[in-house]
Amino acid sequence: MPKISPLSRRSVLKNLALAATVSSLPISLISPYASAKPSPDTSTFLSLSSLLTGIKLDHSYLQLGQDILSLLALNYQFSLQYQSLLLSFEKLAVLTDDFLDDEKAQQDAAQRLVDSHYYPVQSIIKAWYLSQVSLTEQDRFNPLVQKLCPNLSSKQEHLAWSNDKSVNLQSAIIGQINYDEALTWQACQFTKPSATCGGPFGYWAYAPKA
Amino acid sequence: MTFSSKESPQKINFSDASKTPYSLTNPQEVIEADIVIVGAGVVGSIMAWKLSQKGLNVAILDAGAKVDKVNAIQRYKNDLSKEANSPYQMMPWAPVPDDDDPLSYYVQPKLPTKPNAPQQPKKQIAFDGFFMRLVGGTSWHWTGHAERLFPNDFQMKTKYGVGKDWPISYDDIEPFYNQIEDAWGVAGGPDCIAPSPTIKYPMPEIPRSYLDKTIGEEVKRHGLGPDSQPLPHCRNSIPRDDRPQCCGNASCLPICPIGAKYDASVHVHKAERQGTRVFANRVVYQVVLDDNGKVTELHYRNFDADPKTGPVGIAKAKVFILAAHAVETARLMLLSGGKFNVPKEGLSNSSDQVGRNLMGFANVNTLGYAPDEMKVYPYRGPVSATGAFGQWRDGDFRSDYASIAPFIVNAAFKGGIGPIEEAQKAIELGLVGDALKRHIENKTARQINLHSTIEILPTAYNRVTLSDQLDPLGLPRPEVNFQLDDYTLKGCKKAWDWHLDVFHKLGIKTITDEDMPRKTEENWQNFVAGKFKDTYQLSLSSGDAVIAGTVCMGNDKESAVVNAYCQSFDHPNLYVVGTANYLSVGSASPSLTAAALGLRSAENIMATFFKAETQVQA
Repeated sequence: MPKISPLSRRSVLKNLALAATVSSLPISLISPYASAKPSPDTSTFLSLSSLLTGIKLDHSYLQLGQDILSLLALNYQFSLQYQSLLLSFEKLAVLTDDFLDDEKAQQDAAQRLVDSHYYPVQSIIKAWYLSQVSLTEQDRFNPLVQKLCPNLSSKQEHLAWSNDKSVNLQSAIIGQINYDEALTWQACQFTKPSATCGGPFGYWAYAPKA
Repeated sequence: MTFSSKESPQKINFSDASKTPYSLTNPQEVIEADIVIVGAGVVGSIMAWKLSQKGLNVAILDAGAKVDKVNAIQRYKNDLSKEANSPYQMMPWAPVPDDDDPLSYYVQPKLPTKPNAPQQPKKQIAFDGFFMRLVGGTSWHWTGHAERLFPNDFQMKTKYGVGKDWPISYDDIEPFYNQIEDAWGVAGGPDCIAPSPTIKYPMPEIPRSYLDKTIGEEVKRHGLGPDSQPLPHCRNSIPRDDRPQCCGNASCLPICPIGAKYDASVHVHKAERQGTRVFANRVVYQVVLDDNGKVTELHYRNFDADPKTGPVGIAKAKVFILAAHAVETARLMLLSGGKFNVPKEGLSNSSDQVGRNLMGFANVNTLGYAPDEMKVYPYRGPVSATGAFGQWRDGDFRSDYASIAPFIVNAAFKGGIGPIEEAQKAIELGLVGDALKRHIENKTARQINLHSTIEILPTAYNRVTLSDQLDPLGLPRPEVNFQLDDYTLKGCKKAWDWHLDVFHKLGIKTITDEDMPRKTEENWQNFVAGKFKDTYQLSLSSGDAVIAGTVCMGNDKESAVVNAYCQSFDHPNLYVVGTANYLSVGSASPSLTAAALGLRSAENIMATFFKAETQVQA
């Protein structure tokens, strides 16, 4: 039976890091958007997101975390409620070693946050698991959205051609950030994003590795 | 300028050609060849390859564009819906049925207009036959199943007293099946569902998935039928023909990112290397006859030259082949009627059979969750499908009810986004943290999609005609009339009953985690009426994986459009090929037979029209 390595962003990055040329590069050269040192905001967002998603999001997720937070912040309601969520999160003292070792405590803390901050928590979890954010038609023209949500470019082309200008700018649209990076694929390690090589020929004939 | 299938090309109007200085007396382009083929799909491309190998001057015109595979994969990844057409840019001048709204193109006036009206398939059922108009055709998103028809499929009337007999037998077509399996590269073995275990496939079989094996073993253990079996696949089980081995990208429907699955672009490129010229974005709208009923030229709009005006072009040849799929071929033949010496009833339509005998499959679609202790792990390997049940492909029962092909869909609830949608549901339940992660994994790993395709017989009333509603070029859209008869519905009932037996015995629940409906007459009627569709995703539909009939072959010009070599009875230098020629569909995927018929037809063309040229070449 062939051995299949479960897909993991971290494992991919780890393998990349084995290459001496890459491993010697500062993170700012690997990603043009990442700073050499994570900003406190993004670091906190990653910690909060780890708790909410149940998946440890290390610094290999810094860029994606920054992108998600930037897109979520386009929504005024989110920005407003996110500050309140952060205050609640900081009160949890989640960075203590005892807390990080206690799965039940983490689950309880996550549940308390979703119970008291439903909207921003749902937005954050959806952004990570689905790699999707809720936007409005007017966001389509935002350069940040155009850069980070590639699914939202063709419609403009269409509008220009069809002379259909009757779009309500407040209408809800979904921006997809990066299908392959959706945490759903981390949760379902027996599969991987569609249109991604799954492993050696015939791997599908066997039960996935536990 | 290009558009996705989600956008509305109908809003664009190309019908005003007055902005162009070109006309039929001053065409923008004239193509001359020995043979002109309309349609660069699986049949057109293999015929072009065969004919140009013999030194003939071949030109192919296709209404759509050439596909950029890198862009196509990116489009697929970026598209939220991950539908069959998601990777492909449909041209506004070549509209097709939309993934989730076939009536965006088909006009089906006899469907009930009232929202939520009960489905009444004996009166009318939505025809969900999808196809694409691109270079490479619908093969870009085909399943890759390369199944032969069974010998009795060719003699349904003689053997079972239903349907029609073909003018050829299995023995006539068998040598061409062998040729196509080698040319395409078909992977199979003695265990595959096929007319014979002795077929010599050029590659070893594609293994069944863990899901297929688990369900198959349970079906057998509970005495519900034989174990599941593998299928012949047109995807590489070993590196072959400069294409890699399949690595289970789980996206082959709609696109194989590495080219391990065959698509017609393979033989488009091979034909081009033999000298065939491929002209994309040329929409043929008229076939022209001389006074003697011989085809002399085709008229088309060339959107490659100018995507806004589509100036007029003319293609001239000795022999013409229409290979534009069962809907578009019939539409073109009807569109041509009443002009340029073509009788008003349409091209090659003295039999009044053009557009009739439209066939597809009826589909019994059922989703559910396996029990907690039975994780089946879908979304791995070729998505649709690596395992099927073969007990109802052929047999004496076909005197009574239709052939049935049950299979297990590796893409489970929905290819590409099934796990994402499972995550969305879990998030909306308020789950969070590790509980959320575990829930998503647990539910996704238990998704089951058992699907049966059921045979439809050819009838005069299931047909494609011309609508009074127009496409962006100002040409009539295809109007469809489609009904299921008792023969097919009886097959559907057999399939529905069996699905329920399997689900009940294996403890499979509905997508709402309820018990499956009981096997009662009332529930059958509810199923047919569509009452389980929205809540439980248990549905009866039609069309789907095959569109066939419309230009049937036969032994005489009174009852058929073309002869046993796909040659028009009315116009001898016209050949009409593809699934359009079928007189039965069985319950097998249709493409292999269409391509085999095409090769047989190509040999006839060479022998009839180009004997001297091809002998010199040889």
